[in-house]
Amino acid sequence: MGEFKVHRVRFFDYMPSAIRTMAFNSQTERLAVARADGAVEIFNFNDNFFQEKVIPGQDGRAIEALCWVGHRLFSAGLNGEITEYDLENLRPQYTVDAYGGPIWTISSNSQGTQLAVGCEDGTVKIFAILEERIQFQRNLNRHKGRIISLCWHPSSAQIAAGMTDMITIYDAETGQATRRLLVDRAMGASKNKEVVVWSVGYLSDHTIISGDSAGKVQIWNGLTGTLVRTYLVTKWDVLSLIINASQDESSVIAGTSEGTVIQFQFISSTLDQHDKEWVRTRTFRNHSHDVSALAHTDTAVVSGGMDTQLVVRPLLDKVEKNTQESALRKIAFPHRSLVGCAKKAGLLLFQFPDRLELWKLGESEGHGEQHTHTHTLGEDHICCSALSACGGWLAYSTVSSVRLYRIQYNKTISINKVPKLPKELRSVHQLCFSSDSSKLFASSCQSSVIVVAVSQQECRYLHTLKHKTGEWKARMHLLCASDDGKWLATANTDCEIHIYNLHKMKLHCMVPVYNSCPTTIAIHPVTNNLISVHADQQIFEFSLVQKEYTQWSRRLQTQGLLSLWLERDTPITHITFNPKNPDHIILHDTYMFCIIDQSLPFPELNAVLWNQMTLKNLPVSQRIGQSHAFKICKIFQHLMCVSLLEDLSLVVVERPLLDIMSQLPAPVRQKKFAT
Amino acid sequence: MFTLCLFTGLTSDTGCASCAAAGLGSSGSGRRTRRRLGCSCRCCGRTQPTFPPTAAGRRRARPPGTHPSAGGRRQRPQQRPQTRAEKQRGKASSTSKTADIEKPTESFTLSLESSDDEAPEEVTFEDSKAEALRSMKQALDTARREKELLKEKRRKRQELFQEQKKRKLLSADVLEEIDSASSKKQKQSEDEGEQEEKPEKEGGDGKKKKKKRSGKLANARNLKGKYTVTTVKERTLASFQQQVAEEFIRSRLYGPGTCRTTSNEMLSLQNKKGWNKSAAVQFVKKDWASKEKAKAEKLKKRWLHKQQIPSC
Repeated sequence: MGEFKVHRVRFFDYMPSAIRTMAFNSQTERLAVARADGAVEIFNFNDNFFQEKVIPGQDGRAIEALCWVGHRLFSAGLNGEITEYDLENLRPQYTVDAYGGPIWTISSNSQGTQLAVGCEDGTVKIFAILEERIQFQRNLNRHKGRIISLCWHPSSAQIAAGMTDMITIYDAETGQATRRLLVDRAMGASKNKEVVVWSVGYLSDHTIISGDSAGKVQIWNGLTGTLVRTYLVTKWDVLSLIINASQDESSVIAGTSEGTVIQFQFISSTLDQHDKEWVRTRTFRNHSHDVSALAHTDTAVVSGGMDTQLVVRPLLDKVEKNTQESALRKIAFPHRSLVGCAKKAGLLLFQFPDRLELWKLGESEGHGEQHTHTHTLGEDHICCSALSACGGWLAYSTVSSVRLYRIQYNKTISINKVPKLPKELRSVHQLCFSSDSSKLFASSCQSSVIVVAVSQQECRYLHTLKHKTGEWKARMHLLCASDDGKWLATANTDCEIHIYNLHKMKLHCMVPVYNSCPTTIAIHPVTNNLISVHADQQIFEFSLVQKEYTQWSRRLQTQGLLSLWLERDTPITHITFNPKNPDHIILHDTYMFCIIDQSLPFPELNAVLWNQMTLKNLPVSQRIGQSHAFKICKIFQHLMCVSLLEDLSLVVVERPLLDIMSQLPAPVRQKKFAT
Repeated sequence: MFTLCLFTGLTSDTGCASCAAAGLGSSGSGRRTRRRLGCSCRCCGRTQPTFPPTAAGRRRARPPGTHPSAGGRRQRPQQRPQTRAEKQRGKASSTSKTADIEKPTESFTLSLESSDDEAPEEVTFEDSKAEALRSMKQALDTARREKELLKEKRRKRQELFQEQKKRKLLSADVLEEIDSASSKKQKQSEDEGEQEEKPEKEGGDGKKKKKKRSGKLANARNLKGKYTVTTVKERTLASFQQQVAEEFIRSRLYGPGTCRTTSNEMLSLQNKKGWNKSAAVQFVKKDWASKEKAKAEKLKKRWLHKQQIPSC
């Protein structure tokens, strides 16, 4: 197979940010996750939990609550603003100031006509949801103390609001507070500490379920205002609560500061249907830190919190056991590449939310030198970045602007900004340099690609590549240029891949649409075949010249990929090729990197996928019989990028999960036996 | 001032005539008359503190039959003729019903009272209670008076300060001028930006300070051109509120009282309880806890050094 000199890079200090809140849209099967740095990520639950879209964050946008209304996404934060997001262009569409101080919670009624927000000053404000905007309708009666959580009754007639030491039920028509439910404080030493009702849920039979900071989940009768049942589930706080409102409201999930997720179900203790009550059923311990966000889908419980991992736990009474469906999924790393590599120059570009770091790989065993370029452009975070192959150009974009820099080295690296950029380069979602570094491709709004020529003197707008006239498509999230400069491939989240001919500057063809979103695409330097890997781990090879799938690809589809390959839970984020051997395709995901040898046969269905160790132990003559096309190496974990430089040395950028966990905020102290 | 004769209950200025006639004498030798500033209780003969013969005093007089000891103990119910004070109050002369029963003891008690023994005056419970109440009331009165005095003083001082402040501030015209200038949006040079920074930092204090500063600046006429006064951006107030909210969350989740530990401990415990048991993380990973390791190294060196010194 070959021996490579490996640059093992561990100085990428990637630190994901904590998950603050999430909201699941059962119509579109999308989960919106808001992080502490203000970024909003959309996961497609239909497509192997692929992270489809990422809206970059902003300093000061501290999102506390998210809410789906139909296909629209609203968020509210501690900056006092309600933001609606444009999910096509991946940016905030507009913000409305609620003028109530920091907003703690947002919730829409079941008809989708009104939005209620709970503010710091103790008011619940009702906004009417109109076609393109929201409009302030009125305030409900003001209370002393901040409103931490809110829930509408399914009939939209009442609102239950959780505050400090009590829960108030408002009549949504009149705005009067009809009932006040007083929540007990914690027993023992913390009797003086006020109890905060972190989350509240309202069922259609007027039962109110609340989780508070004393560690209790309480079930109230909303009509009489009395406490029905108390469950003391933890010594710390119960931070989040969710009801499976879209189904039959029979299951409630609570997330605690300890990292446990507890399920309560409305079932009867005997076999007959009478005398149902809320019983604590399951406890999941999948987190090490606070669980501050929960979502309840039809078949699974999704939880996220301070340990920055998204955990999807299917409920075994809804899915079949021991299948791919019932597996626990942990999503810890982003589903796109944050590392750019300049193959000819040996430079690495690390993309952080608020800055970029440029590193030069060292020749010897030693470390790389660094030249950090820190950007503080207002408050917007970086959306995407690109490094040219020769290492001479660097570009990045935010939601509002694009910047281009020229990199020069005499003895040290110097980075100079290119001042005037064409005005067409405004809101760009993906950037890519051509292989000769003469052109910059940028995917912009209305699903078009802007081609800009970069040179020593200036940056000149060349052309805009569009689809057929007038057709509007989703924004492209992947861009790839061929080595000979003739082809450009783009992929969007509607699973379409378009090929443009750069010599004629027009659309060449469209790859047949596969129902799973492509996670990465690349054009082979020699054969000009497009390799695409999708979210369901399928691999395709498409010949650009002949406009059809290649023979190899058809054979692979006929044979089928091994189940071990298909059951991997992290997507492939980068494809690269070996200049010395055109048969090799190098792919990687978080836990492994794989070299696919197109000249070798595919593995049989009952063959072992990871057979590198066995092959090593066999004598050379027998190896040929046993070897198959997939050569997988699992030495390096967790991989952020694997790339092959021009001098045939492998660059492996790792970020061990332990390093991330060591920098997380403080977890709770649990006293365990024998420790 | 009158003299009350205990035998007859008659009051007189000079002495009880009837007693004098009876040879008992009035005040003076051999006998101590109870000269108290007070009026006597009709039923038991105890004197009570004098109340001026005002309406209030009359009101405080007990209606017949309501003596505190009337229902309870039979102490010294006496059928006594009314004193002058009582007459003034216009009370009926009927006394408690217990008078009949207690009559036989009357003479006995009278004699007790009239006896000229050296025993200290018996202060009855009611008397002492009354005394205590009186002194408490006096104390309360004095305290109240003092508080009022203090209030008055404070009010006067406050008024004085207000006046001084008014004198110190500019006239309303000048302030209006400054306000109108500040409401215009201007491009700021660096100097102005620096000047703005200061008000921004103190933005939380509100506008009072700004007025003072503008007042001082405007007074220094020669500096007027270089400074501009602009209102503090709304953003600082919003971010202050945001900080307060973030502090609230932080103190509830990570503040005192929440038992939190470090990641190091958590990972070390995982190492200890895991399948492959290993040491705490700061020993497993080389670059952790470098400060503690350096300290431990130094300590080790010092200890070794100490060990070597006595040996050589």
